[in-house]
This record gives sequence, C-alpha cells and structure tokens, in this order.
Amino acid sequence: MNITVRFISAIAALMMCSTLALAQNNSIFTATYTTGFIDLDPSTAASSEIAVLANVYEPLVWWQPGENGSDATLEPGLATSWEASEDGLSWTFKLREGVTFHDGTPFTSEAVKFSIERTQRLEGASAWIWWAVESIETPDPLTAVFKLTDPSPIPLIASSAYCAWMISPMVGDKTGEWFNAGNVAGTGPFTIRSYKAGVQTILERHADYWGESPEGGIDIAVIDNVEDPVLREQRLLGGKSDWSEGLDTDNLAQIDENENVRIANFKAFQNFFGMYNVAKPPLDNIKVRQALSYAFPYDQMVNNIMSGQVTQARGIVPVGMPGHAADAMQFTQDIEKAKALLSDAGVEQDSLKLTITYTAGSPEPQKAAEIYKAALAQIGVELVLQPMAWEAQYELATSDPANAQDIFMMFWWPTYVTSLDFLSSLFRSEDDINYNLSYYKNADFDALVDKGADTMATDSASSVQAFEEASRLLAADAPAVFIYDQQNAYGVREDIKGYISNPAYSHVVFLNQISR
Amino acid sequence: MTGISIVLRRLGMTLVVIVCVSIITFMATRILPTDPAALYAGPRASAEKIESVRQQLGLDNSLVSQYFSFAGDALRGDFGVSFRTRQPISSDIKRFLPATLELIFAAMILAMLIGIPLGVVAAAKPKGFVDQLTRLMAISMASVPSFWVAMILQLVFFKWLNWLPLSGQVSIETTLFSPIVPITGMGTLDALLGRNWVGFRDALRHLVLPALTLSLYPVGLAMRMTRSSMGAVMQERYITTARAMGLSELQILFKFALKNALSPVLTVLGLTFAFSLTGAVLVEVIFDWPGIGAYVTAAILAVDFPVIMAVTLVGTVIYILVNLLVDLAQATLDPRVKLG
Repeated sequence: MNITVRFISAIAALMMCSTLALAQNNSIFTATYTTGFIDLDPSTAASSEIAVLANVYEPLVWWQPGENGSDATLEPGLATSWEASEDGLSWTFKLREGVTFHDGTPFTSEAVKFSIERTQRLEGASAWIWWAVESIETPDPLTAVFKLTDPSPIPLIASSAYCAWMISPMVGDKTGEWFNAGNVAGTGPFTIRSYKAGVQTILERHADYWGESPEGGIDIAVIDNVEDPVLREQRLLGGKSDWSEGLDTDNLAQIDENENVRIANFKAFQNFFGMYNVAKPPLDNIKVRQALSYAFPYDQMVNNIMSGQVTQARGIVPVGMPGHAADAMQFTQDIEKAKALLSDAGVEQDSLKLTITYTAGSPEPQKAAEIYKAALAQIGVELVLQPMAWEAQYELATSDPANAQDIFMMFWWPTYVTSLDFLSSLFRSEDDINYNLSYYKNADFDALVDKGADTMATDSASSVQAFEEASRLLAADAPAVFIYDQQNAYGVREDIKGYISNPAYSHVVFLNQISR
Repeated sequence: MTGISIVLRRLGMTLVVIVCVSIITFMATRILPTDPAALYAGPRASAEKIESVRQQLGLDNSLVSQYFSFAGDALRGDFGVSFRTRQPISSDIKRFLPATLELIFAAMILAMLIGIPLGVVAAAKPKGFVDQLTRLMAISMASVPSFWVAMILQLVFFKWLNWLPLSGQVSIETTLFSPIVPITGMGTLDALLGRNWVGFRDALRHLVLPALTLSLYPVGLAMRMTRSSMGAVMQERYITTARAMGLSELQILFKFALKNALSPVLTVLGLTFAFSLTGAVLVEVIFDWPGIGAYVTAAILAVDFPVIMAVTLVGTVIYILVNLLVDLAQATLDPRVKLG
C-alpha cells in the first residue's frame, strides 16, 4: 500500500471512532438550556440562572405544590419550623442543625441575617420581597427572628425562587463579580466545578452535604446553553443531552414517540397576555375592550399554535394558584358579538387602527399577533404588528400613554407563589408606572387587592377570598386579553428517574432528586 | 522603500482606520432606539432601578465623554464588562476568538489542499471533465446556504452513520477526564502542544464538520481563481518555451505556472479569511461552536454596546493585519509586485 492510501485510511479510521470509545459514565447528567445565565450572584439573580443556583444554594423554606392549587405546602429547607407573633410583626425561625457551607463555615442565624441584609442592600430586581423586614435578631445560633414593619407572610417569601438563598457570611464585601467568576458560598448538594459564561456550567456533588442523596444519583451535571432549537432537539434525541427545555412545540409529539425520550409536562405559574392601554381612547371604553377580547382566536392559539400544550387563561391569576377564580369570566371568540360591541361603542368599521408590541425573536408572541391581526380584520379593526426588543417595548409603554402602544403582549411569572404578584404588580393603580402597563386605575379593585395583601399573613382564607374577588372583577373589566396559562414541556431521556418540575422554581432540575 | 518603512507606514494607516471605525461604530450603536440599562438591570427591574443602572454604567454622560472614557480604557486593553454575560470582555474575546480562528484556519487549509490542486488540474485540461466539474462545484458551493449544508452533514455523519459528533468543540468526557490545557485557545493545537492525544483526537473529530461547512465557499473560490489565474499563465510564452525544452507537464504545472498564478488566489483567500471572522456565525450557531461570531451576534441582539465596540475594533485590526500579510506574501512570491 503506498503512503497516500495508508495516510488516508489512517485519517478515516481516526474519524470513524465510535462515540462509545470515550467511556460513557452513568453518573454524568447533561441538561440543555436556552440562553446563557446573566447573574450567578444569589442575592441579586432574578432570571434563568436559578437552574444553577437552586442546586448550589438552599432557602429557609421550600414551596411544594399539592394535588391542586389549594393544598400547596411550605416544607422545611434550612429552617425546620417557624412561628409568628400575635401581632404578626415578628416571625421566629428555628434553624437546621449540623449544616455547613461549602467553605466550611457553619450555618447559623448570623448567616440568615447576613444573607437577607446583603440582598436588601444590593437591591436586585426581586429584593422588594423583603420590604417589610426591618431587622433580623439572632438570639442564639439556631434561632432567627424577623422583625417587621407590617405583617407579611415571611415563610412564603422565604421560599421565593429569587433573592431568598442562604449565603455564607464569609462572602463579606465580595461583589457579584466574585460569584460570576464561578465561585460559590452555599449549602446545597452541588458546587460549581467550572463556569464558562453563556456556554457551559459544570456542577459536581458536594461531599459534605447535610442531606441524603438517592441511589444511583448524579455526581456531575453539565449544563449547556444552546441557542438553536433544532440543535437542542437533536442533542436530546442523539443522547448528548439527558434533559432539555425550549423544544419547539410543533415537534413535541414526534419527540415523545422516540422510545428513548419522553416529554414531561408540568404546570407552570407563567402566563401570556396582552395589556390594553386603558388610558388611550377608545380603549378606555369597556365595550371596545370587550370587543377586542371577544375577537381573539383562543382555540386556534391553544390547540393549533401551542399544540394543546397550554390552557386558555381565565383572568390574570394562573390556574392552580390560590386566588385563581374558577368562575371568573372567560371570553371565547365570537366575531358577531365583537362587531356588535364595537358599533355599540360608536366605533365605525375600518376606522380603528391599533399597534401591538411584543418581544422580537420570540415565536409564540409572533404567531399570536399574526392570528389576532387576521381575527381583528374580521371586525374591521386594523392591527399593526411591531416586534421590539423588550427594553424598547417597556420604555415605550412607560412613556406618555397617549403615545404608547395599544396592546403590549408579554409573559409574567411570580417571584414567589402568590397571586399578589399578578394582581398587584400588574394592575394595581400606579402613579409612576412600574409594571401596570395597562394604566388600569380601579379603586374597587385596589381595595380588594389591599385587603388580600393585609390579611395574607394573618388570615389566609379571607386573603384568598379577596384575591378571588379581585380576579373576577378584573376578568370582567378586561384591561387585558388573557391568552393562556403556560405548561412547561421538557424533553427527558427515559432512563432518568425521579424528575419532577416544581412550578415555583421554573426550569430547575433538582439534581439531588434524580438518578439514572 | 525598505520593507520596514513600508510596514511602519501601513501601521500608521491602520491606526487612522481604527480610530475612524471606532467613532462610526460608537455613533451607530448609540443611535439605536433601545436601552441597554434596562437589559442590564434584569427582567423585573423597576424604573428607578433602571435609572440607577444607567448612571452606574455611565450611559447618562454626554456621548463625547462616553467615547473618550471608552477609548482611554481600550488603549489600556480594558474593554469593560459585557452587559449580557457580566464577564470582562477581554477575557470573553480571549475565549471566543481563538475558537473562530481555529475554524477559519482549518477551512482555509482545506480550501488550499482541495481547491488549488483541483484548479490546477482544471487548468491543465481546459474544457475537460475536471474543468466542467469544478465550474459546477464552485457555483454550487457559492450558492448553497451554509446552514443547510451544516444540517445535512449533521444528519449524515451523526444521525445516520454516527461517525462524527453532533456539535460542540470537545465532548464532555474530554472536558472532565482529559481536559485540554488552554494555551492558544484553539482546541486541536493546544491538545497537540500538551501531547494530549485523547483530547486531540476528540477535538479534531469535532472540528471536521464545521470546518468542512465553512470551507465550502473558499474551496469553490480557490478552485475557480486558481483555474482562471493558471489559465492566463499557461498562455505565457515562457510556458511554451519550457515545454519545448522538454520539461514534464507536471513540472511545468506545479513548479512554474502555479507559483506565478498563486498571487490572486492568495489575495482572495486572505479577504475570505477576514470575512469569515464574523461570517462564521451561522456555522457557529448550528454546531454550537463557541466562537466570536455567535458572541457578537448575541451582543447585537441584546444591544450590548461594549461588546459590539470591542469586537468591531478587534475585527478591524485582524482584517488590516491579514491584508498586510497577504500583501507581503504577494510581494515575496511575485517580484513584479511593488509595495508601498
């Protein structure tokens, strides 16, 4: 054989090495996420990075869903029990014994004080949840007392997915830079082995974790950020990834048919809606808003575009959350009724032109806007589509309402599990607009929401009742078109056991619960 | 002019170009109607939070003072921190740029190894089978979309044959058990330098498909440029003389003709190199190759000003350097070319 042929066949042999030549290790778990993580600082993180943080850090309390929304419970995390004072202005937490941070520091009430105070000081996007906390006392190493300015459901807040993680006091003055270099200071079952921002994070099991681990548990977790949805799907099907989010809804059924992969559907507390600019005529007329709500093609959106993977929304509070009113008004598409309402309101056919904005590059809002445009054309309303970057949309909406968009499509999810974060954050009247992007101002609604908020810590039954009332009022008043409540669909390899998604901690895979 | 003074003069012009490019890019990014402070502040930030972030990032200063503070830092090698990844940009670029360079080098090597010989053969037998074939191939390669080719290659070589990996630079097993120590930032080169044979084999296998995809256009270009350049050279009188003197066709083709024909081919390949720097983004996205193209594209979509400025400047410098090298190479190969 001459040298050329030998050379070529050597290269060919090299290329043809099967992937199994590199040993496949069963205790390595690979998860595929979409875009990169922005901020690994547990005191300020408010986005998808909880996928990492929820495995490296722990809160005082965990939120656990029940069978349906009303029997959700708060489970001990780093706190074992909690009790409020008579007047609701102080909460006493008993802490778990024998827990140490990754750096060896013991977990004590000092750490609780340090963590919450650091969060309040750094003022991250979700630090507001601790607004009522005036100070934290540490009478002994295993007792932390929260002193409040107003009654506030501290245990529920302490189960928040953002800004509630316990951090080692050894962090001291270190800034977010230290955390974003891949350093950790938590108590959780995993630590960060390596972090390549926007590309890959590798977590490994922490040997001295206080809790138990399942048999056949995971030792090393690789979290990859992959932007391309086709590639995410291929990695899952090809065995390169054990779990994946962000799969194209059109392909879910097909992926499920693959014998090595299943699609796992879980409730999420995320929903999708379009805020009407109530301050801009003619959307200040309830008949016009109702007409627009009657025009939206809900069936088409839910069953065709989202392939039945979501459920139509009923009001702003997602199904399964306390405060959701199962009898609140729900619009269905009725073109004739919409036309009638429009003419009742004195709006002539083909005279109304509305602008709708939504995040550019996002597939669901794009499709929703397109079918809405077609539907509205049937009632003689022209809808102008304007995809924009989120920041630009937000800036437009919070500027002068007379010049702002007419409909603002967006997703929303709560910081901790409470309908307050939907009802109040989105629709309570505001003078300086924060997230009440519909400019909705209704004193009756405000009163109900305030009542619910005030009784949240002391009388949860009346609190939920007040929230349900508020939900009903809002749904009928139609300050927004409530489109769908999301379910999350993830692709998982069949040989992964014990995987459950908790709606309070979106897109998190709790690595210490799964095994192969 | 001596070689040194030519290089110095070119470097002087380079500086002027860089300053102009930086000013233009700076103005362009600032005109965009989006607000990076809102992005940096995070998805649930209040209006006050966004305002305080705007001040923190210096976005409320005048444009002129913003530009000068950027320029001052850049001269010291400090490009600032990315709004999107929160990492220092210079370390981001150090990570991503070599990965793209590795892809481009591999694509260029393929272009030269495959394209030039085929072009020579095509020129040797004008209107022959190889000539017609290369013409067809070159047109196809220039027309076919790179992302389509990428996916077809993945389908054939990963899904059907399972010969090559689907995506990424290295497999997770290599990262965990025989990690490649970064020296240059190019996986294959670093593995070789560190004598990490397992890592080298793995990195090479991951390099094949993306490099192949990226090489399509350069291969087609090299084939046709070589063919036409050789075609012109083969008409020259000294070729006929050489033939008359009894030299073999092979010797004539490769020893005399090719050397003289290479000049335009090299120019074109050099330009393709610089273009591929950010043109590789589609390949990088589909193969999940962590390169500078994907990095700057994500930055543009996220209005990440500092990254856009930094990568544009780095890209400009590389483009100019490559041009300079190509000119020098041309001058070396062809004494008729005068620099300066």
